[in-house]
This record gives sequence, structure tokens and C-alpha cells, in this order.
Amino acid sequence: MSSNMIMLKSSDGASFEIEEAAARKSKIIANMIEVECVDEDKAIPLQNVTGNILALVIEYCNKHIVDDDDDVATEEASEEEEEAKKKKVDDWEAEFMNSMSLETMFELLLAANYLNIKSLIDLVCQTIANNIKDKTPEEVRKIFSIENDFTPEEEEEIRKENAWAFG
Amino acid sequence: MEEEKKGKREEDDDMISKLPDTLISEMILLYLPTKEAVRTSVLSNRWRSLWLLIPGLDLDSCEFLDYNAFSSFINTCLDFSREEKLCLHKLKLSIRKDENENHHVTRWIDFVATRRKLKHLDFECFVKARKCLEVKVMPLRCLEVMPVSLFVCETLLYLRLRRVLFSNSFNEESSVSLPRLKTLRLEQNVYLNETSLESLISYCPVLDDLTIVRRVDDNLKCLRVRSQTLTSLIGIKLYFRGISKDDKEVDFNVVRDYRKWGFFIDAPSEDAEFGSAGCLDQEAASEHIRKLWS
Repeated sequence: MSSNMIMLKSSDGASFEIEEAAARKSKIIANMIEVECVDEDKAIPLQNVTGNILALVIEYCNKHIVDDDDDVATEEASEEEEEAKKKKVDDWEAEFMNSMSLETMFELLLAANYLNIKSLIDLVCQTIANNIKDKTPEEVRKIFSIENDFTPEEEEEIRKENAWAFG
Repeated sequence: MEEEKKGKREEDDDMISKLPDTLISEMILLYLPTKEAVRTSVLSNRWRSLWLLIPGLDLDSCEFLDYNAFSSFINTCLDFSREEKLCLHKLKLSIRKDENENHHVTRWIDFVATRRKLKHLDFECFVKARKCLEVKVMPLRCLEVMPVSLFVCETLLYLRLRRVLFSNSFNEESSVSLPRLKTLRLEQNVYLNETSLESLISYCPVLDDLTIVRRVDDNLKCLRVRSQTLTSLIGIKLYFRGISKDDKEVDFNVVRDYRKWGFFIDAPSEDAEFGSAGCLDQEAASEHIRKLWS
């Protein structure tokens, strides 16, 4: 297992050191490493990600790289152990998402999308979906500051079109 | 003061609507039940048609005013995906209909299967008797027929069919090709005969989870489960269940009860999990199924 460190540089100039194995969670960075565009002494510039968001991305990647290693080492682990491990990760993820504002969440999603980190995209989208679930359209608009640009007649028309969903 | 103003502005910023369509539809809305995703159409103009781009549908005809409303909703979705060249990856349909109702299930499934992107199909059908009571055993003529295209859908990973009719014989090699199918759940279906079901199973080379729930008139006597590859049988979860008179599913692990339930496992080499599975006599199998109903 390689423990090479690589440097990432955020759009606002902050530098972060990260294990190569963790950085490979990002398909974009993994590709860069594959084609050897990564100069060991130079930081990879990430123009679309600010320092505070990049710090979160790195926190997520570091956490999950440990889990991936465990998977290899304990292939024969019992079901209970597997479950306990999964619960630990779930709890960590819940705590991680809980600690941030909606605004940060969207910035993190865009960063994960840009860096192509599938599992992080899934996690953030699931959390956003949970914020929509079981809410009325009015409540959803309020949570996400969505401006209703329909006339009352238009809105009524749409509700009628799919009346079953609003029942 | 200045900072406070700035903070306020950001808070009011509608960031979710600024996300790309694919993130909203394929990721966020996909995590919602279809009904709730459809409800987002009323949020604003931006959201009006986003739900139509979701690659998965999960629908229960019970939630609609009547079967016609349900049917026309699905037709709208499929027409939209045809025009936009979109592909459904996941389709879950639960249908409750009157005996004489017109249905288009075969056509719908054929449509999504021929797009060759379908990964997950879950279909079940119930027939309502008068007064909305569910009929315990569905009359043969009410069973929906599965289209041939479903059994050559090479992208399929998960397939659950409950109360359908297999009219295919799967005699020729070309009529089945499910190279990626990992999970196959067949519940209370009617088959042409056991050979056709055996063929179907044998052309799923990576299957690792097979469930079969029987019904009395399913045209199966002794079922032989054969696998093309040795590895595919390792770790297979195999259940053969019966339905008791009160419609409860009775679970039997095949290792213990294969003799009762008409199962025979024929793998290229002995697999520890199945031990000494052997053939059983058909009479005993049918007898046990009959017992559950008596």
C-alpha cells in the first residue's frame, strides 16, 4: 500500500496535504495520477473548490479510505462485525452532514460533482432528499428559498395534472 | 452590518434550483418516492418537468383515482422518455386491477426492456374482486404475460415478478440472455412447464439470489436448478416457499426442505452449502403443496 502524499490547492490558495490513496476517491485526481500529470513537488490546483469546502472533502476521503482498507483486510469478517462497521460509518456520515449548513451542503455537492466522488455525491443528495421528504411544497420552498413564480392559476393547473400525487 | 447583510443574502439564495438537471433528477429526486418527486413539479417553473427526468419509477396503482388514471400516467412518462431518449434504469410497478380491466403491462415492460438500460424490475399484480377485496388466487386468464424482450435484457441486475404468466418456452439458447442478473425472485407465477423455468435459471450465469414462491397450478413438478458456472452457486440464497391457505408465505430453506418442495440442485461439483441434494419424487412434492391448502 502506497502512502505517498500529494498536495491539493484550493481556489483561494490554501494548500492541503492528502494521502494518495485518499485522493484517489476522486476519479478526476485518480486519472491525473494515472497519466502522471502529478508532479510530486507541485500542488494540484482545484479552481472550483474553496479551502473550507476542500477541507470537508478531504475529511470525507480520509475517513473512507480507512474503511476501504478494512474491507480488503477483513474479507472474512462475520456479519455482525460487518454490521457494526457499517453502523459506525453511517453514524459518522450522519454527524458529518449534520454539522453543516444547507449552503455548505450545496457547495460540497458541487465540489464532489466536480471532483467526481460518487459516494460523496450520493451522501449529500440523500441528505438533501431527506430535507424534501414528507414536506408540503410550501415547506420545501421555504427550506430552500425557492421562489414560486407560478400564478395561482398555473399552480392549480399543475396540481390538477398530477392530482394523484397531491392527494 | 455589512457582513450581516451579506449573510442574509446568501441565506436567501436558492442554491438547489441552480444545480444541474442531472444532479437534481438523477440524484436528489431519485432518493424520493415517485409520488413525492412528482410533487416537486409545483415548486416553480424550474422544477416543473425535472421529475420527468428521473431514471426510476416506483408506482402503485392504488394511489391513483382509477386504473385509467394510472395507465395514462405511465404512458405519459414512457412517451416523454421516448421523445427525450431517456432510459429508465429502475421500474417498480404494483398493480391492483379489476378482473376485466384493460391493461398494458406487457407493452410497458417491453418498452423499458428493449431500451437495454433497465437494471431493476419489480412487478406485481393483484386482482380485485368486487368491493375491492383482493382475490387470493388469481385466475389464470388475469395473469399478465411477460414479453420475450425482458428475458434478453442484458443490463438487468434484479428481477422480481409476482403473479405473472410465463408463456415463453425458452427452448432455444437465443431466447434467454440475462448475463448480469444477480437476483431473481419469482413469486406465485405460472410457467409453461418446469423445463422452461429451468432454462431461464440456467441462462443466468451470475445469479446469486434465487427465490421461488409457488402456487398450486404453476405447472411445476420437480424443478432442477442448474447453473452454468460453479462459482455462481457459491453463496446462493435459495428459498422455495409455499403459500398457505390464508395466503401467508411459508419460508423453507431449501437445504433442509428440498425434498418437500420439489427441488433438485445440479451443480457441476459438490457445493458444501447444498450438501447431498438429491432428486425427489414428484408425488411427495405435490402432496406437500396440497397439504398447505387443505
